[in-house]
Amino acid sequence: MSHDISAARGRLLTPFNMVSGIILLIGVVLTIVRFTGGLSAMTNLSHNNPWGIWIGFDLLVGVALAAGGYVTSAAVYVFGMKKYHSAVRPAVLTGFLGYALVVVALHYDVGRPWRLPYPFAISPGTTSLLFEVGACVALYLTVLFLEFSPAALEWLGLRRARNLAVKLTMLLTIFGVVLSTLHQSSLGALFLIAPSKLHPLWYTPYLPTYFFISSIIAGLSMVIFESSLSHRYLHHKMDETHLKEADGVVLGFGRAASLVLFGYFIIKVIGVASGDLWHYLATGYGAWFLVEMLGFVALPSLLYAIGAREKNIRLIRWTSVLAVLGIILNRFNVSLIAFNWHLPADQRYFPSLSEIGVSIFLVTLGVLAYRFIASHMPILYEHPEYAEHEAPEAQEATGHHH
Amino acid sequence: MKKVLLSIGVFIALVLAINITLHARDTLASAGSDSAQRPDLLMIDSMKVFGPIKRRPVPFAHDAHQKAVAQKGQDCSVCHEAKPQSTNNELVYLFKRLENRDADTVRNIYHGQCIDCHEQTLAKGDKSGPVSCNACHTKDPKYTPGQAPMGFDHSLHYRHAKARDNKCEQCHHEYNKETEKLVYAKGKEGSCRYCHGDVKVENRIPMQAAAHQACITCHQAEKIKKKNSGPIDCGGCHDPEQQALIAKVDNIPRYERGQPDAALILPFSPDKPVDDKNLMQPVAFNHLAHESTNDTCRVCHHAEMSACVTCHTMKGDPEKGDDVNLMLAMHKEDADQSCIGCHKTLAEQTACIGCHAAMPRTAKKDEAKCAACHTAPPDSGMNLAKMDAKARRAMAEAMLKARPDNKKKVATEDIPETVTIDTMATVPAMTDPDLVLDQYKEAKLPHRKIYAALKKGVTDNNLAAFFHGNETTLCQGCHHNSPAGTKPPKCASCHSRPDRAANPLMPGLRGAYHQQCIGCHQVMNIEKVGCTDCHAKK
Amino acid sequence: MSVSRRKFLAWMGAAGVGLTGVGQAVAAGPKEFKGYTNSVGVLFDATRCVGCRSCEAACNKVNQLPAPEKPFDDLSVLDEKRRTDAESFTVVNRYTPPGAAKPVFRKIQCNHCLEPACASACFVKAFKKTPQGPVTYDASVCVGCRYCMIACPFEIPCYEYDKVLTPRVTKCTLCAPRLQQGLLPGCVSACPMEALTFGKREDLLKIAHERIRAYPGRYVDHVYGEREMGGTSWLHLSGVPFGQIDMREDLGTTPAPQLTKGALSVVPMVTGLWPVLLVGIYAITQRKNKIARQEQADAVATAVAQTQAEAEAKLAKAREAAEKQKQTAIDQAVKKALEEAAAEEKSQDTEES
Repeated sequence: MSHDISAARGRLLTPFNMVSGIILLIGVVLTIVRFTGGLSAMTNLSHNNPWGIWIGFDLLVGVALAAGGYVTSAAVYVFGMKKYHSAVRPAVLTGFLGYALVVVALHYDVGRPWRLPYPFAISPGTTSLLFEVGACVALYLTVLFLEFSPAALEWLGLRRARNLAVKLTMLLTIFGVVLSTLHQSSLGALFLIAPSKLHPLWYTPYLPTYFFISSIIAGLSMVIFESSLSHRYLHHKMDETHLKEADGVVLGFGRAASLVLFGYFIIKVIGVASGDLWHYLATGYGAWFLVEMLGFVALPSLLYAIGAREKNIRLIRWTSVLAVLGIILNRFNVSLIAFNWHLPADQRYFPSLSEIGVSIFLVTLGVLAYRFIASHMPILYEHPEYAEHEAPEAQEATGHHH
Repeated sequence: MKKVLLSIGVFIALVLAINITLHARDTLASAGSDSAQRPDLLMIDSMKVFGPIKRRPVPFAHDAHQKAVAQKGQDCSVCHEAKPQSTNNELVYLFKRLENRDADTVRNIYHGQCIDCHEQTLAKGDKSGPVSCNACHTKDPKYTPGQAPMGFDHSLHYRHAKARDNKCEQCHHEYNKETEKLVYAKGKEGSCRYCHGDVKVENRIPMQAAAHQACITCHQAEKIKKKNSGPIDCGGCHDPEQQALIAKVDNIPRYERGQPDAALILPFSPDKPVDDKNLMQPVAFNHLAHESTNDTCRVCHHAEMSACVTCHTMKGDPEKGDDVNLMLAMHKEDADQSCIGCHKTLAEQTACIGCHAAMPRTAKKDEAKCAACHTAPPDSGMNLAKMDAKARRAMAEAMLKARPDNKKKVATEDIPETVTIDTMATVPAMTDPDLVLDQYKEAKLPHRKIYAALKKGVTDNNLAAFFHGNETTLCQGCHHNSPAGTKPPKCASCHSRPDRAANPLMPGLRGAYHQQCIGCHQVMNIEKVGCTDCHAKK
Repeated sequence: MSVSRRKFLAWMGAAGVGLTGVGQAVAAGPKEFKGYTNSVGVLFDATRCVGCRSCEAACNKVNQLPAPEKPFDDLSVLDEKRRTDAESFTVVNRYTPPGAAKPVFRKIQCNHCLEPACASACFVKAFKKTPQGPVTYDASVCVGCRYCMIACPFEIPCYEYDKVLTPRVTKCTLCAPRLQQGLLPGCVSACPMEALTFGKREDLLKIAHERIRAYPGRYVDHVYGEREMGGTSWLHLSGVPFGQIDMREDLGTTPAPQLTKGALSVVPMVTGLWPVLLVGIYAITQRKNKIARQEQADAVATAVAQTQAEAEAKLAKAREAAEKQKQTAIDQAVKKALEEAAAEEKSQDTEES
């Protein structure tokens, strides 16, 4: 392992590192601008469009794509699917970094970020769905941190703390699923309060359900997607179990994703039928809705199914990209594109370069943090000293007896 | 791999297909909405008398065809047959037939005759109409029908009567049920529309057919005699531009139909007199004065040329009078046929509306207003129930003559020339002083000029002159809710501290001034509505 | 391993605590809030407004807002449609409805809804509907999330995007401080045409309907704000259809908090049910796994036993065969020996004789 670290240090100036270095630099500059010039200095936010891509992308997409954590740990620990065990730690890491970056992004977007604890500590507005989102995200970030901690503690050699953390796995998993259900659906429910501003094809009382189901799809697809990336760039960190189980994870998650996508498509059709919205399909927005439904929900469902049946790992990996794009498209549609659809074109929002810059900066931070952690901590491999000391329940659940 | 590509291909095709069809539907829906209107355009849908039509109606420009026919030195008989047993060469205004016998015959007539003529003309090298199915039965007509409605007003009727030597029987007829013939009934002449409506009812042809038959036949006959006559082409009557060219005669002599100069409107039907002293006072109606107030008699005599009470009985007749009783018929505010309704509409003219728009609809009616029309007969001993028609007319004329001359002039010296409004300085402010009062100086009102303008608006108008004989009523336009006189109370007497609970409509003083002045100026199209137009800034 | 009783009870307890922690009172059945009694409002009469902008000037003065680029008596600003701003709590717009002889003016400001969307959406309770009538904003807790701006159906709240440390949400305050002093709101005071009437909301509704009754040709028979979004404290009368003066007629009468009630009511249900569901699934899968393992163990044991039995049978057979062979060999040897002995005896007998 030490050999790997020195080798990495030696090859610091890779193209990827240089590009991400530039992005980080720009990000630091933008951060300074944000906190010295205010929001008007760098965003295209207006009184009609108070939420931009920092909410639409960093919050909504970020939380959705970090859903792999609860989906994977539920699959492995609650549903007892031991063969996906190697996918848990990467998924939890993605989830933890994702939520952490959501909180960081909120510090940019919100007017007085130092007051973010106020809803919990000083003046709770419990009628608000945003309160619910905030409370659940805060709690879930703690859950993810605790779920991730065994890897860090193993790396630090703190055996007793690590064993304690591992004992909490079951409880954290259940708590995590509860919290995730609540806040994933509540992110959709945020828009229930503005029926006059959201296009009828996207505004529906089923918004919370749609967001929750699509978060499962996002989680499944993201696990496949970042396993593709890890295989390509962090292959040397993976141990035998991980490599052996990898294809099984992709196949199994692909199959599951196909089914959930299909179910999602069905409930979307039910939504259109129950709202009697068929005539909207003949409009411009209707065409766009069909693109989202057919190209980014029905198509990936079909492709996942084909890939799973023919055991075509490559197809499933590429389809996961399509599915992830579909989730991004859906969150953008609800928060930016179909939102304020009634306003004239000159009053619509388009992100400024600085806003895009900050979002790219945060994603880069996440990727770099993932790379660092996965390279140094037992994420893609099992720490040899701890493999036989797993807690009994975890052993039972995963079937690992040493 | 193949399967994957196939799925993607199918998906793309599906999306494209859906998008294209949906967009096509959109464009289709908006097709045909840019066609221009022509007054001579008819939509040929004659087949509809035989059942639902199978092909689209055919747009047909009648005047264009008339012109083409005339250019060839031919006349209407090219397309229209003469009415059998007609004395004045009356034509049947159906295309090349006397009646609609059966579907096939009619269809063949149209197809055969139209297409034949077009083909022949085209063969000669001239411009002609279409010969293919969809060119006539077109989805996207270049023109749509646009006939401006045509009718007689007093001027046009007078010109026609003169041309016919006042022989009313030449146009006016009624249908005798026994002899089943059209006969002339003297003294019962009325509007064509009393019998001829929009659609055919029993054997009464619709107005369109009746008018064309009567008017065009006569005009055509005169034309043949090389006399000056009315138009025979569509546009001549129905083109708004050509309608404007129709000559208007002033000072038309009165119709001689035996109408009364004055009529007595009684609180009972003349054929069912009620002998009761507790009935509403009768109204002496100046029919002569009212005859020239409208372009046609039909505005008031909307269903027949008789007394209102014939149909609008005291209790209301559901068949004859549409359940509108006499009281409603005379007083209904939103009907142009009723007295009050017409007067109300006239009070909305620009010269009058300044004051009249500000008057709220109150439940309580001013007794004095009723007395303007309802007056007691001069001889209280007379029993109205026992009078015959002639006596009633005489009574009405007498009552009109006996009307009190309630003219009261206001002397010019009684009207202040300028009024300086500076009351805001003296009235304790109900509102925040430094938000409001300090901004403007006093307003100098050209009071006498305003009065003069109002008086002018009243002078030229008979109706206004009747109601505003007492000129202090003009003062009441602004000095309202107080007795008419030359010394009305100051605005601040009531408006300085309005009791909003009792009088929810009453504004405070500042609101009163601004609503009164600006409100009136707005509806009378007077330009002075800006702040500094009335009071300069400090 | 099956779920031990202790563990199960522990989890149930946790779920129960979770339930109590989310103390959301979920209303059962339809409830209608008709407003606090004696709460105040303002009636705006669009037929009286002449677009003089005195209300804008007064609002600016009362709230000590910075002076705008164009002064308030510059009516050329009416050539464009404006919306409220961080520094303009109210604006007047001019509209030219089709077929109308004269332009119509409308004053835009916070409508002080009876059940405000902003108050429902705010997660720090910065917005409050006071019983007196105004919807107030508390800048001391506002985090600046701007969800209120998303929620407001009338698109009123503005944000001070250019402030770094103290950005606030701004909107009309109904001059709550002035009301406490017994004064009228600034705009109401300033309007020369008395297009704005201040009073108790219930009285204003009566006045509005009385105006419609008294001047039937002048007004559209509708008081905007009587029921829109559950009712607002700012009421409107107009001579032209409200849609033609940019007032949305498709907002409905459902108050905003009602729209999110369903989603919020799900929270305690999920908190209570999900742990039960998940523990149940876990227990079932564990049991399934245990049974599978047991069956596997049994199968292995049976297989082993069978194999062993077969092996022993084979061995016994082999032993028997070996025994037999040995016996046969012995018998043969004995027979041979006997034969040899007999032959030798015979040959000895022959020699002797």
